[in-house]
Amino acid sequence: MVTRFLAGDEYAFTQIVDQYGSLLLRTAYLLVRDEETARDIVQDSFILAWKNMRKLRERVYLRAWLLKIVVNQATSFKRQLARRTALFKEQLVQYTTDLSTEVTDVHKDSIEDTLDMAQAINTLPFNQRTVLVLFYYHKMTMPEISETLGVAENTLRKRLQSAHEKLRRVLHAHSTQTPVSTQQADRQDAPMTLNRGEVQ
Amino acid sequence: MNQRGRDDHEHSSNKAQHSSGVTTNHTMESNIAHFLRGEAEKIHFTPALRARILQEIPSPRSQQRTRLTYIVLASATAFILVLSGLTYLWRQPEIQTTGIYYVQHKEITVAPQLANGGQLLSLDPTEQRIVYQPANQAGVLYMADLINPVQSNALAMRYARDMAWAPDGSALVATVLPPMTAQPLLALVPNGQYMHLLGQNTALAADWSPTHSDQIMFARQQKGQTQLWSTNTSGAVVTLQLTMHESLLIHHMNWSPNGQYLALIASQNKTVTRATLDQPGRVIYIMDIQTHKLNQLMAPGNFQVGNVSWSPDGHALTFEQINPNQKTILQTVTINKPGEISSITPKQHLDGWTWSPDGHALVYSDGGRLSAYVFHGSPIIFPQTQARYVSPFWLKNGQILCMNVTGDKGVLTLLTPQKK
Repeated sequence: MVTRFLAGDEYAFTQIVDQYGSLLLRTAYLLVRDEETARDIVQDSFILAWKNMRKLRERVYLRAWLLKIVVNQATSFKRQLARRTALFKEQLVQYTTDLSTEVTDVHKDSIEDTLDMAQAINTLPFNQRTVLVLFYYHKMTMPEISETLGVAENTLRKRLQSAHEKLRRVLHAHSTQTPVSTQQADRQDAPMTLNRGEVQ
Repeated sequence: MNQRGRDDHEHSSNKAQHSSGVTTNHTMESNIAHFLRGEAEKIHFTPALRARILQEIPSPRSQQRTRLTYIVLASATAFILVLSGLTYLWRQPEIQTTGIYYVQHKEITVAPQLANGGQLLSLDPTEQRIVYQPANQAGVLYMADLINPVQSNALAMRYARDMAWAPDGSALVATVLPPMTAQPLLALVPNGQYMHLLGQNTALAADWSPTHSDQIMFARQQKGQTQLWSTNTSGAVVTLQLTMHESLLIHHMNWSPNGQYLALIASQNKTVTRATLDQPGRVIYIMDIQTHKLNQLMAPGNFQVGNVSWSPDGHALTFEQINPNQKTILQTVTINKPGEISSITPKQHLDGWTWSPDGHALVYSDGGRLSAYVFHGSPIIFPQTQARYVSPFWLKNGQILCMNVTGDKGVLTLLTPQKK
């Protein structure tokens, strides 16, 4: 199938879309946390894959190659979003200040009710979240992630470690505000080592 | 209970000590993995999205079509460029065919004194005789007939400074400066004979009268004034024609063809001595024979004035401007409009030049390659050969006489025009 895809076989490409579409869409969603954006990212990623099929060096790496494209697309989406946010930030600052007291009061209750893993992960920087998704959702090893993202393994380990620490802090902070058992608190404070022994 | 709370309950006893001695927390890892799986399952790859993606994928056919379009466009551009180039090249000869082509017509063997590095200096007005100077013999001039230049070759004069042909080509008038004389003397060289002095008359420069073909006019400097005298071919009677109050050290004088103007080439030093006589000409004066008014044609600059010639219609004067770096520029100045100057700068060095008889062009030798500066009319094309053509003279029938030099040897050559 991959061979036919590389030869420009449209049907083979359709099969690849069917095989990896769901996986890539979910990866994109986990990264950007927005359904419509995730769909756009996957669409753009498949188009890029089709146009750049000659850049796929080894057939066996098709999945990793497609994931790399999705991560890159999500990264550029995040950058665009950051730029747009920075632009609007100045315009909205006055309005935000006026409403700050009111919003804070509403938010307080919301946090207490809905703070969970989703929100904790949302607080992570994008690069840490990416490592987290590839490591835990895709069960990729550190060398595989390193190859996919083009980032040194040590850097990735640090990012993952930082992600864990931040998650623990956020969840612990929440646990002190809500009634949790002593046992739970102990677990959250414990130092962590990651599965598959990549992070030491 | 939220997600974290649920998972914490499910993995409540997951705290453990790893074999490496590092404490692990599998619960947290499980929570993360479980959470991500749960989150991922919220979104589905729908048939609509699949269709959207496949619709957006450019088919290989359209890619091929695009590639084909590029190829066709590139080919068309290349074709147009090639066609334009071919058209240009095709039209070039067509343009040239409207001009005048010169081809080598005839070679004339000359005497060794000319063949071995001699310099062709002059052609008489009847186009039958030449005057030349052998190599490295300044002031020594030979005369020869064009019909038979070897047999007719004869020494014409020594110590020559300046010369001019009689309008009928029967003789040369010259000024000569023999050793032990303080001032140049007037001399005559009848055809085929050696020069003789004309009555011991001193003369800085001489030319034939434009109005009387047997009358010679010559310039003298006396009592701080410049005088124009006339005499006949015997030199017996001399007549003062006019006096100019300016004191000029004249090196050369030349009547315009219509006799209206007299060009005088003088040095900046005005005292006549043997030393100052060797100095080059630097100033050009034009005297109007009607008004006797003397005007500087060109202000003296940091250059010498070499050979001078009137245009056939007598309205312009062409002269060699020899710059300090020995680069020579041909300047053509319109007499009534001294600001109108046509300059010819040879790429290499100037090896002779000539006006066309009808005055439409100047031909000059640029380091042995003939070129034409056309003022008006058809372009002129010369043969592109390895031959070195120097010292051209344009004949009245349109032919060009010049020396064709190969190595150290030269022969007279006639170039003939061919209109295509």
